[in-house]
Amino acid sequence: MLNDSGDPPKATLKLSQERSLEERISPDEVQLVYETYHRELFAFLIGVLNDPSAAQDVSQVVFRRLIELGHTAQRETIKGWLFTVAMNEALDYRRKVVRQRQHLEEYCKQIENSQGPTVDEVLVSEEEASRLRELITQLPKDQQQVVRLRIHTGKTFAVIATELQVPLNTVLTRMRLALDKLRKGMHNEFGSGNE
Amino acid sequence: MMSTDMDNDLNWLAMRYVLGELSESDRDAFEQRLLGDLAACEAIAAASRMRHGLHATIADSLVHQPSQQIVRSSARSLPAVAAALLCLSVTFVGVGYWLSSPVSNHIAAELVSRWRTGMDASIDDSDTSVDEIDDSNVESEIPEWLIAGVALENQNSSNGHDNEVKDN
Repeated sequence: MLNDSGDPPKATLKLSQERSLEERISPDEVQLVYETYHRELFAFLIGVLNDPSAAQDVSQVVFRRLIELGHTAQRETIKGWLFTVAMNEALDYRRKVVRQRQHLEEYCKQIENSQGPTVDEVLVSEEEASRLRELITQLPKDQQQVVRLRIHTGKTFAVIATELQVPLNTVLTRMRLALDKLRKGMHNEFGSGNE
Repeated sequence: MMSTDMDNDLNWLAMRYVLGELSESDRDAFEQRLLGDLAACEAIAAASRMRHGLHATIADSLVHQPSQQIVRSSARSLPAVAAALLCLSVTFVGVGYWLSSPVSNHIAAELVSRWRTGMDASIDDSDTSVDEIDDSNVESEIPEWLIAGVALENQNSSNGHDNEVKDN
């Protein structure tokens, strides 16, 4: 199912409608799905769980489910099925696992001790980070300020509004406008970049 | 245009979710939406990547900023530093010349004495017993320019004495 250059096709995959229920999804198809969607799925799980270690665990569970149950997918594309499973597993994980903080601490220790990439480096390439750096400097100062405060210091919008002595809606608007500009700038350079 | 506005709304909602800025009820509602809305899931993935990209970018720029500021501020202050050094040099030479004059023979010693008295007073102010003061430590607190000035005065006075002897 790979194209001539050996890359996975950009188009979404469809499962054969003629496959019987007993037939499992083939290893090649699993590999193709993994190569196509694992990065975006990992980013999605980090967004939901806010815990890189938990995101990795759930990601593995999702692809295990793909092997076991991928052939039963009723949806038009496998991607939708994959993300639905991921969301269910993430909610399950959050309900069951109480020790999220311990996982993050262990993960941070692993990051400190290992030579491996950080979460930031895994999700965003160096070229993308470089382009983002440029785009941030092109933002109006007030938008830059809100972005830096929110992302780097982790202060909530309400706290930022209090510190800057502006209405909360002003902070939200600045952040939103900044994100729109950054998103457009990145899209112009790299496309959707999700697959 | 309308779908772009809706996309922007969804992207904004996704970012607020990723940042944990939604209320509990809004968060629950959005998570229910994620169970069946692929576009919303994709928006979450994009928001998560944007967030981590910004985090890496901002952290990196803050790491480089202080050293650049130090370099820039150092470069800007060089003329001021040079001027200050020049003033100090002139002062040092002037004090040394002044101390070398015969009239100020005893003044150098007086200065040292006054300096020491001043140190004593400041130490007293800090409620330290006079008996506990170690003179050697106080001695070391005397500025070098004063010591040098005294040394120069002593040297010149001895040279002056020799010259007087020669003249005579």
